[in-house]
Amino acid sequence: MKQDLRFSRYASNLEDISFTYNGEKCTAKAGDNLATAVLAAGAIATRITTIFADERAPYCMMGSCFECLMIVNGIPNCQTCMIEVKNGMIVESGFGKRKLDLEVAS
Amino acid sequence: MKFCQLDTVVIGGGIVGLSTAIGLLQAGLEVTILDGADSDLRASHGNFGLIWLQGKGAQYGAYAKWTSKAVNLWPEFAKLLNEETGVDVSLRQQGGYELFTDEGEFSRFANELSDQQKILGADFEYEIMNGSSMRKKFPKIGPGLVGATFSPHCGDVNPLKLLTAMRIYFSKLGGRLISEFKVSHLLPFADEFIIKSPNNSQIIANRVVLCAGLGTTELGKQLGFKTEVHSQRGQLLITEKILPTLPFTSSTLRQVDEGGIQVGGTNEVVQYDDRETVKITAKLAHHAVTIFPSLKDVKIIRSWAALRVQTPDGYPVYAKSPLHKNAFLITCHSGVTLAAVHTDCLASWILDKNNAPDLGGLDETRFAL
Ligand SMILES: Cc1cc2nc3c(=O)[nH]c(=O)nc-3n(C[C@H](O)[C@H](O)[C@H](O)COP(=O)(O)OP(=O)(O)OC[C@H]3O[C@@H](n4cnc5c(N)ncnc54)[C@H](O)[C@@H]3O)c2cc1C
Ligand code: FES
Repeated sequence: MKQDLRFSRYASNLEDISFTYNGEKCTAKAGDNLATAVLAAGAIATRITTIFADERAPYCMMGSCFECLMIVNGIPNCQTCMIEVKNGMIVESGFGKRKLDLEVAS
Repeated sequence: MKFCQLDTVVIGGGIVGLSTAIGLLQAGLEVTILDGADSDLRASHGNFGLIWLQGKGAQYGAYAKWTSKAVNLWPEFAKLLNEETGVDVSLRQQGGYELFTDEGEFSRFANELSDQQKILGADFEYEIMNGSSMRKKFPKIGPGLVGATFSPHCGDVNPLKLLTAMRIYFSKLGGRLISEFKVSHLLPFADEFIIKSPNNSQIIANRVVLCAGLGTTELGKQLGFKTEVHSQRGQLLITEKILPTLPFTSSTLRQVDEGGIQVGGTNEVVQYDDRETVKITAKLAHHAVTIFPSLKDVKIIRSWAALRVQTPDGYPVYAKSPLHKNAFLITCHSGVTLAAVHTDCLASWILDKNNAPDLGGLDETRFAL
């Protein structure tokens, strides 16, 4: 994915990190915030809302608005602004309500 | 100083005030609601949304019958609100469970339902199930459930949509809501009432109906009422939104129409403190995973607490002032459940119509010394 020009990084000698977002390989620096890393990687909408299916992206960056929900390593509805990016992370955009089965015996 | 002359004034714009006011508007009165400050403790903004009959009034016939009447009126009431306001309050009334993780509580409640059955007769159906038959029916329930009761009369609504719908319907019927009007003084004057707030606004009303939740005691005293209410804190959790999956509604665990699973049902006597505590929220989470172990990975996105409005014996009060004609006091614990019957019946009681319900067992003479 193309780096987004909305972000420019201060010179950094931190370690390079790679992760995937919706299957595409992206890079970041160690210690980067995951929501920022995804935005810096060029993403625009990072989830759709559960009820009206509107497009949304990280907004408050401090854990209160829940706009930054994505699927991280298979776990839905993760608040990515509260997570640090790690090497090999598999990140997908949020897609609405979580699936869970409370009815049928497993 | 501002003066304003009004016919009927309802003090308190929560669910109880709104349902009473809507009934009075339907009866053709001119109604104004004076509602206090946004910082007030408001049960109507933080409750669990159950329409519940199980256990209600098991030891008090008048309350059991009144609640039974309310649950029977709900389908029609929800339909009316939807038609009049376009707001679907998401009533689901396919029955509900009480879930028990303690043997003693389970058998006590089962006995209460048998008492309630004696009062209500054919108007009350229920079932008692042990843990293993529940697990047979709902295989994802965990081993910690010792038993459950079920009653087909119970259900739930989205309580915030209910509040919205009632506000819209109230305005549509011509009602006027004045918010941020905290009544401090209620002075009977001849056959009227002078209503004052600290910022000196004054209203003169022909009729006052007190529905002020936790503000009821203070205002009631000024008109000679004896009812004293106290607060009881309830704490709640809600999870991330999930596709419909919870197979039933229960009094402690229910999936709201928007997807979150709400966990609640705690009771604490505290003064006017509506903050949640880690101890109780942890207990709620523990209850949820005891019932459905697969909830353990589900995220809790919010927790909150709200204060119930409780009378000394827990039953509602519908009182006419012993001193002043045209002054009324209404307060109750399950204002969501009772909203349907309040809208339907209280106006005829206030106006002394022939078809008024008999609320003798629920007046305040039971608190007299
Ligand atoms: C945690 C919890 C869960 C609950 N779950 C359920 C449930 O599942 N089912 C059910 O049926 N019920 C439930 N309840 C109870 C239900 O929420 C209440 O019975 C109902 O909301 C009470 O409504 P109310 O209008 O009497 O009080 P409130 O909602 O408290 O409204 C009182 C209003 O009066 C106003 N007021 C107070 N003093 C003054 C004054 N001096 N001047 C002007 N205005 C004033 C306040 O501003 C407020 O708006 C629950 C309650 C809680 C706290
Ligand atoms: S961006 Fe607001 S919670 Fe993450």
